[in-house]
Amino acid sequence: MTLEVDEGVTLAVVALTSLLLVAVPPRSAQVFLVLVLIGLLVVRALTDLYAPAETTHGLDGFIGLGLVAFGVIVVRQVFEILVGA
Amino acid sequence: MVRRQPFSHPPHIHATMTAGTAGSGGETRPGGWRNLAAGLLLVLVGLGFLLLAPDAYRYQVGGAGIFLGVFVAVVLGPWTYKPPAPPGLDEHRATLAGLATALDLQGPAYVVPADAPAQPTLTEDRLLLAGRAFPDGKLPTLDADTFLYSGEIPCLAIVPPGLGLLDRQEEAHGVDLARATLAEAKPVLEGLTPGNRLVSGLTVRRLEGIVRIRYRPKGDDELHPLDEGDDAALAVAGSAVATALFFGVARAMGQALRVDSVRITERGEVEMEATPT
Repeated sequence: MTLEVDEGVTLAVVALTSLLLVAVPPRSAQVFLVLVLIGLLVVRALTDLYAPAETTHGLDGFIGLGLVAFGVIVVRQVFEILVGA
Repeated sequence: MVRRQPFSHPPHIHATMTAGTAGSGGETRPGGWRNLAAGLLLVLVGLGFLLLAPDAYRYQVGGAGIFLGVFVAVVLGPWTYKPPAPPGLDEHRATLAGLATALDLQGPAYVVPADAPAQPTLTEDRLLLAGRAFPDGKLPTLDADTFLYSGEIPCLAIVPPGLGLLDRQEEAHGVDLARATLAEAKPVLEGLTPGNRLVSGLTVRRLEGIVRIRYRPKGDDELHPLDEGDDAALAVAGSAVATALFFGVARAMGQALRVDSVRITERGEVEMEATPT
């Protein structure tokens, strides 16, 4: 059975997320989210030349959402630091 | 003397031109609904964790479930239809891959032919292999500016016949590639040895009717010195390959192609786009 590129991408993302679920300690949702985002960026970069446009666009959408969430995390952290000071 | 020829399509390509493209209808991806169901199930499981799991894990596990469910649905859902491979796809893919191997190209070649001719000749493939036709491994650069901006197909301008490796192979095997079938031409192609490594990083894509070929010519200090940003030299080194691949793709698709643009990317790749005519 031949694995298509988009199926391979999905498999990689599922494996990465599962691995992170096991590796990241509990109550670390923010760390988990950031690591998944980094993983998506790596997968996007590695499959840029080979993945179909649909898959690339789909990855871009998730990366965009992840970046927004990352921005929220950063803003929250900065706010907490400022309030704490 | 640089020869120029008009961009013409072999009769067999015209004869098999088809209206529309494969998969342009409302068909769905095989297994797409199953993937969508699996994705929705994952989302439900994620929601369940989010609402019911202990505090320590609820956000991570729940979030991961929802993320993966949506991801599977988006990337592998029924709306991501790709047309099934028509008869002959494997042969044409193997042909392109073989030609790419003969030129030391790396990377996959994706081709989605609609109606492939049963016995294509290698008239167009001659262009692909023409980069090897120069015994010293160098392509002429004297007319780079002229052909780059002339609007003609670059490859045709830089392929004088009867100069080198390809012709010697034809003579040795008694095969005229211009009139040979793929089967007859196979030993000739296999007889070509690795040469000047002018091109690497090849991709061939068909996106919404546009065929895009992207590749990175190698700057080999010994054989073909290229300065960074030397667009004309890059195009000279790789345009023969890309143009010939367009012919190969056109043949595989059963449609003639018109080359619309040639550009150099910021990463030094040559990118050519064509649309079926």
